Amino acid sequence: MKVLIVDDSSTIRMILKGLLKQLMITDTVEAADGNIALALLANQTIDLMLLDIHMPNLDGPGCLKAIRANPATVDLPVIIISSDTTPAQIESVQAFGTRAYIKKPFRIEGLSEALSNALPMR
Amino acid sequence: MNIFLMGSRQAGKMTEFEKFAAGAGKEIRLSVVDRPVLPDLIDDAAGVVLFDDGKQSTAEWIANVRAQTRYLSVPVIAVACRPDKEIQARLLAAGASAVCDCTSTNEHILNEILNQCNNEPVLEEIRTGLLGPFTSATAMTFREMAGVEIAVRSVYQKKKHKMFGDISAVIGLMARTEGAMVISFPDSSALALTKRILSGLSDEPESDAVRDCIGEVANVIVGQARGILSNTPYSFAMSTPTVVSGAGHEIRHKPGMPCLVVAFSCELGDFALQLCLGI
Repeated sequence: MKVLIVDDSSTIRMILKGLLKQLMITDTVEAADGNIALALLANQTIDLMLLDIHMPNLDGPGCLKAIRANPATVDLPVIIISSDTTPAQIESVQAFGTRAYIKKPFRIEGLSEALSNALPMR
Repeated sequence: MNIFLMGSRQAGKMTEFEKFAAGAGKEIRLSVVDRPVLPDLIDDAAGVVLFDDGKQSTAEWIANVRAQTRYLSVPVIAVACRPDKEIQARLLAAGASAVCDCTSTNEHILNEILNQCNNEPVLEEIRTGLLGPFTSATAMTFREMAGVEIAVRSVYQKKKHKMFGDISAVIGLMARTEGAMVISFPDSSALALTKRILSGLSDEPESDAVRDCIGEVANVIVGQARGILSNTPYSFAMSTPTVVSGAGHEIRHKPGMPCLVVAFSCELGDFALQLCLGI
């Protein structure tokens, strides 16, 4: 399984990569904003995306909108990762069919649960 | 009011000032320190007066005091051994809040402390309603991300106090007016925190990794506080973090806007959170 990690913070990308490795997921690619993520999605087969909300250039909601508008990625499982925990923010991304929402800072248990929700057959 | 006097008793000016201040009738408690390091219990100090004896070490003493009080609201008044612009500049560069000299009257020196000291209380409603959630968010972020417990050293409203940091993350806040949250660390604390957060992932993080990590810590703190404060009079929107670095950079706040400071300590060192929010 290939996971795309999208976050403008290299710290968060590194932590997520480490946690995924502990969950036996080692095939990962990284993007620092929504535009880079869309470019990677156009060229690679991705099974799951972990997506931050607040990012420069193209943010999480903008990236999600583009993904759902593209027939090739319309069903891509997406887990939101964000420190923004306001109900309005959570609702705004849930409207785009996200599978789970992980609040930063996260623990491996939270990531594991989110993966199970996003990919029940895994 | 606690005032610390630092220097050698052989400097006659210090003994003279000590007698004057003790009899000034302003409920002043004086502590004389003849070493370059302040005692631990300085968090509630109203000020430090450091008497220069003409030796180069005075600037080092000031730098030591500044390091110990860098995020506290404690003015450091230096009394130069003679009226000399070069000495004055050296003491200011070392971190003195103001410089008097041996020709200054004792009343003038005392007034410098009283003018510089920052004892404006923070309203209880602001302390619990606004700073409480930011403090909780900071404690949770450090605990969850780094496994570190933090303690509050001091809470105050910044007035004339200059604050210096080596690395600071700034996040814009949009409430009724635009404001910002700034979190500042000495280099050593920032590196130690980054190493702790990236434990097992990166043993010797480079400066870019430290900058990114401090920005992300700020981002998580503000995000958590935003969640707690949503649907309250203090709700706000937030920007992405900007990180400023450079040894001893001065952290100013927006003129005309109240600026609240929470100074923290933890096993990795001291740091401070500065909050300017139009409310």
